[in-house]
Amino acid sequence: MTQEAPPPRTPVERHRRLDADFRTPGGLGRLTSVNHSIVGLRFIVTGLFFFLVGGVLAMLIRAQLATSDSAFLGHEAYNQVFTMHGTVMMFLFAIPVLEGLALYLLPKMLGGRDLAFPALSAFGYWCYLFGGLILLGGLLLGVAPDGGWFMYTPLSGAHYTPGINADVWLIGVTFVEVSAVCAGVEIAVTVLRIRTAGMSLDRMPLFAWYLLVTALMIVVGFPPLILGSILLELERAFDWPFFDVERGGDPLLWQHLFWLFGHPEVYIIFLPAAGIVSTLIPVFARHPMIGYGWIVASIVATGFLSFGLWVHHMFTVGIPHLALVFFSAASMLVAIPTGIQFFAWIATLMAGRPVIRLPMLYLFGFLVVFVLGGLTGVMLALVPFNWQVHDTHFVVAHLHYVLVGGLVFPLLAGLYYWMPLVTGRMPSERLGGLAFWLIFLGFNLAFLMMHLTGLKGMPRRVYAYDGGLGWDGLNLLSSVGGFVMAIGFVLFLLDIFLHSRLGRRAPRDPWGAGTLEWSLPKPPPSYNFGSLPRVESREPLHDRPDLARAQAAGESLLGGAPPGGRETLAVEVVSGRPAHVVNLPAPTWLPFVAAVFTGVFFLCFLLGLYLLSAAGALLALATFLRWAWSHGRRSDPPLLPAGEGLALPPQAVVRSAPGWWGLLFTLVADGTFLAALLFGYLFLWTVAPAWPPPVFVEADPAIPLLAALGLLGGLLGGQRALAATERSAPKARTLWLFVTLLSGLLAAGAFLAVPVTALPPLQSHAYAAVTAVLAGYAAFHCLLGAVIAGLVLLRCRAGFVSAQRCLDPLLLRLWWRYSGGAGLLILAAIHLLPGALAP
Amino acid sequence: MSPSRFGRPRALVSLIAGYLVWSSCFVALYGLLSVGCTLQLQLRAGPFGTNGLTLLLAAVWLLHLAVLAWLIRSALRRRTGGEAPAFLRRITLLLHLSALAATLWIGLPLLLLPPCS
Repeated sequence: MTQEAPPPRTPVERHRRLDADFRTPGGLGRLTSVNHSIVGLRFIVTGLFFFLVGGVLAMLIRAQLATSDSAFLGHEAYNQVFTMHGTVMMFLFAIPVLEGLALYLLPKMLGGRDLAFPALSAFGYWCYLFGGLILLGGLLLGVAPDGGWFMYTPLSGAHYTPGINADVWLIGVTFVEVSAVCAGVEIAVTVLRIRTAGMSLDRMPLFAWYLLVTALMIVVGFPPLILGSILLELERAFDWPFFDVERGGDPLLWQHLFWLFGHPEVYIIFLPAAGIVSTLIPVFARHPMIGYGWIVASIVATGFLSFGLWVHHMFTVGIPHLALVFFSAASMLVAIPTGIQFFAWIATLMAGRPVIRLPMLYLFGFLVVFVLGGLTGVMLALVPFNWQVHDTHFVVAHLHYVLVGGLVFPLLAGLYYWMPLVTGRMPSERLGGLAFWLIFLGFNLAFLMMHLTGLKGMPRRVYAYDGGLGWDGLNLLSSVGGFVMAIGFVLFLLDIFLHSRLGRRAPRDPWGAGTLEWSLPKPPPSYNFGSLPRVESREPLHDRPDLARAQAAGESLLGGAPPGGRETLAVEVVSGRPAHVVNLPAPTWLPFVAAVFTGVFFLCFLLGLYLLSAAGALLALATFLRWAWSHGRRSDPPLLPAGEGLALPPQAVVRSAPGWWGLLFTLVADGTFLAALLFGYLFLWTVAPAWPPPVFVEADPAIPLLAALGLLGGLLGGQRALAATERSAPKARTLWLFVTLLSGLLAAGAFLAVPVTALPPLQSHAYAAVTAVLAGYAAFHCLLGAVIAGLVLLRCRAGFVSAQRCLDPLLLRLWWRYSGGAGLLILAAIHLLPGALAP
Repeated sequence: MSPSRFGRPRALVSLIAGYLVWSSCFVALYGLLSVGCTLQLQLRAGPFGTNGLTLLLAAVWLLHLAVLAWLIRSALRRRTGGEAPAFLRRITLLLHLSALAATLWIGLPLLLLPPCS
């Protein structure tokens, strides 16, 4: 890197320098792209492809149900079709396409040149693609999942679903969820740290607030389902009985774990969509958003309240009435912050001078459809009504009103709104309007009728029904509506395709918006901003209409663009003051290779090739270690000139670099996983019928003692290694890193000894199985803690660490603080709880 | 330089503190209800015709309400000063107040329904 290079003299020279650093190579080199625009668009395009797949499956469902006693699909094919429709729409379309939109837009709206961890997003994309291909492959080979998109046990267990259909779901969806958690961490850190100067939290676009809360919800909400999927796969593959009642399991555990994810998931989808609404409404109302602070508070409240609703999917399973009322009360509460947002939107529209452009038309569809879905949601939150319509088409109608209203209409509005930014051309108001009316009318015809079909008692998930029950006419209308809606979607896709070639050129700020992305050339260059603007309000483009020129001319920050620098700014979280300079990664094969090896692990596990699967996991780990090795510097760098007379430290010498935040949020996800596992342990203990187990853990007292010793050694070693680094004591640092490494190995060995020596056969009872998983979790973390200590040791020897550059030992300490605490908790759960709770 | 000093994310922790208390109350009520019913605590008689489990749950509920009241008091005191900017102080107070209302709302059924039926 040549930081000493003189700043570019002209905008063209600046463009050439920056583009050389940020652009994606051609040919096979495209696989190495880490650029957020490329990765974001890949997510969106792949998501829209899966939307088409899910749409075709929906048409098959409606063709089958159009008439009574239809012979179009057999029951086996129908089961696969409706399961895959739900799975594809929820996991392969809804979340990824919103992630893609966020990854594409956030740096442009926040004033950054890329995301906090561009390579992580690239890895996430490949995980999503490969996981989606596993599910799609299952569909094409006729072995797709067929137990419903929420895969209830015992139907999805090995006894009732002996083939690999359920495994395809568990493996494919878990692979995709790895991608979602990566995106969650990425988005959270980006919003908190990678903004431009002056963008304090109260000047952030509302879209970023929505995405911040959504990202944190993903980080907390997805691990329970990942855990559930792992437990069910372990039961199916190795007969460990987590959900088998006869051996101490309980099918309700699956329902809890699924809906602990599943209900927040609805809001994980809705909040970004509401973020689109909150972005578009002030633009088309020609008035700043009213109630910015109220909306921010509503988003945060929704993020929490949405985690208190999961049991309302389980009102009929036999839970005490008082517990049902807790969840019913929370279900009603969540309508309040949503209502506040609606009032803010309506107030903004009333205060402004709204113009009805194409995106606004789709927002109108959102307002109508989502309100109706919300109202039937409040009906379903009432326990007695819920009992009446449980598992009927009323629920299917409700969830489509919520998801199509809360996601699809705002998403289409957003795609039309930002389309000119991506392609530089305007969409067709006529074709887009026609598509809207077909989608809107078709949707309401299809699903308004379905409420009535449900109230008349038609259950969901039946492939055929008798005539003369009063369902025939309504079903036919629903099917006609479904096909009309499908034609509308085809027109929308046609409009996207045509406008990108034939649409008229978009002016610089076609909608009159004030956010930063509209200050960029269209399509935006690979690096977004020639120099990063300093912002002083929520609508910087309205303050300074000449922002585009100033950015290209290198005024303001980081306009020096040293070759190879790939610089962007990190700011203080709250104030938005410039904190340090982040050096972004160059295109690299590592994310792709890591995802391929992760894919080998998942695919071989699916096929029962366990040795090959383990080899895939080891190769993936080796790739991640190589990835970690590629970061950092071997000498202490000077302060960097950032423009406006500022000299900022580079991230190599900063303790709260994005990497620290990334690990912190990853550990939050990890902690949620452990909390869900401990919940499962206690749930089985208190609720499952075949408890207590015949035999408890019978461990040699040395085992827990050695485990505790190892955990404390890891905690102490991580702490002392950092302290030695800070006072430039390399010998002490080496010693404590060795202590950490050996402690990790010792603790891992002691935890692994539990299932091997101290438990009855793991197939005999859920107690043994869940205890083994707890021990395995702790062993895995200790082993990884040892590997990280070894890596830091090698990096110290290679010169990557100094008293100034101490991020490596800082991360090691953070890892061991979590792993040590979690390990001690698990140690108590394994060795002390049986004594306390056993009769 | 510690991460908290660096970016003052403590203001963000304060922002969500009220709803963290709400979450704790929700999980504690649901968890203790399940464990209490398993241990049949509802069969132990309490004063004024109550039972042991309802009393336990009500105590937990009141404890959370007290913590929320304390948080609101602190937020009111910091309304015109403190490290965080005015915007964050204002929505922190708003969130604490709404968390108090939400906690009141989810706990009210305790007073109306028997615990384990």
